[in-house]
Amino acid sequence: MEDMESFMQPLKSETPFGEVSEFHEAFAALYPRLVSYARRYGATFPEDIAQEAFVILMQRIEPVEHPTAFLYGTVRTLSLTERRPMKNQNLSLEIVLEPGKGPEADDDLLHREVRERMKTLSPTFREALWLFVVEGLSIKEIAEILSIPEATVKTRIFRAKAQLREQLNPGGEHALA
Amino acid sequence: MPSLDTNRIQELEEDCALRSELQGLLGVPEQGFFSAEVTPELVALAEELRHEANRRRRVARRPQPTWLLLAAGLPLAFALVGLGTWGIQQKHRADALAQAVEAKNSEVQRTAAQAAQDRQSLSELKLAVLEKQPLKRRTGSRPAELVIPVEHPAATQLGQTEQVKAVGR
Repeated sequence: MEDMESFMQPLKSETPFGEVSEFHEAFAALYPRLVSYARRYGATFPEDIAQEAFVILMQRIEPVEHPTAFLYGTVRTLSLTERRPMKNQNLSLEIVLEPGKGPEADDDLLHREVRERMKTLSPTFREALWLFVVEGLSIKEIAEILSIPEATVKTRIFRAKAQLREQLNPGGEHALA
Repeated sequence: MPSLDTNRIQELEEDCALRSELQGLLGVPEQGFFSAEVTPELVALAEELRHEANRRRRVARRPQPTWLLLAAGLPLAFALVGLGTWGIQQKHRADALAQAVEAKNSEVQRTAAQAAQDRQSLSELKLAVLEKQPLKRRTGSRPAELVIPVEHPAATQLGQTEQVKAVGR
């Protein structure tokens, strides 16, 4: 019955990523990333949050323009809601890679050096930088996820870059792009 | 990260260069460090989530009982409002009719009282006039006559009458 209903649906709107096989590929690539992303926000049940984000995305009747950005944004919102339901939601990825709160399971996936460098950055810049460099999202997508203008995202990334350069070459000349 | 959704924004070259530069600064490998292998477990989970989304979508589309109740109650509400309006109209009409009847009654009573008064004054007037008139005038100028048919034998012709003088004359 369920398969029949799935068959009855138009193929174009079957999944936000296109055909079912394409959805499977996208899910395989994005699901571990989203679980890790939720864990970095200190979510107690990151797998549940990532799965819920996928269900919310596919449940939508109106098509989503940028599904990847939508998934990241939903995971971020759900994680923050789970962590502090009654408090201000407007916070950055402050706990990324902080000792004791970071995702222990993913530690071996990043070099210790990378973690140390990220840890020294301002929390506000860290979040934008993480999404841009590690998650590989575009400026526009990051702006959509964080609900901030694209120019602000760029500014944060450039400032993060300046901070990194400062760490690598303290007192040396700044090579701001 | 590989382009997963077809609508993904094409990045500018300078953004790609910036990412590469930052990856170099951080020491992040350029290739994604998460495996994108499509395992049967992941496919099963993806399908489960897809079915769950479809189920929720169907539930969300189903009309809510509140709306159904509202829709069912709407004709009843209209009927009640109509009935109420009609009742109010009828009450106004009845009030107007009662007022008219009351006015008519008072008019009739007033007329009757007037008529009684008129009759009374008329009779009084008549009495006064009669008292003032002399007896002769009252009896009239023409002498009253009493015609009594007299029965005669068969020989007597029909229509033969005898004139007698009035009593007391």
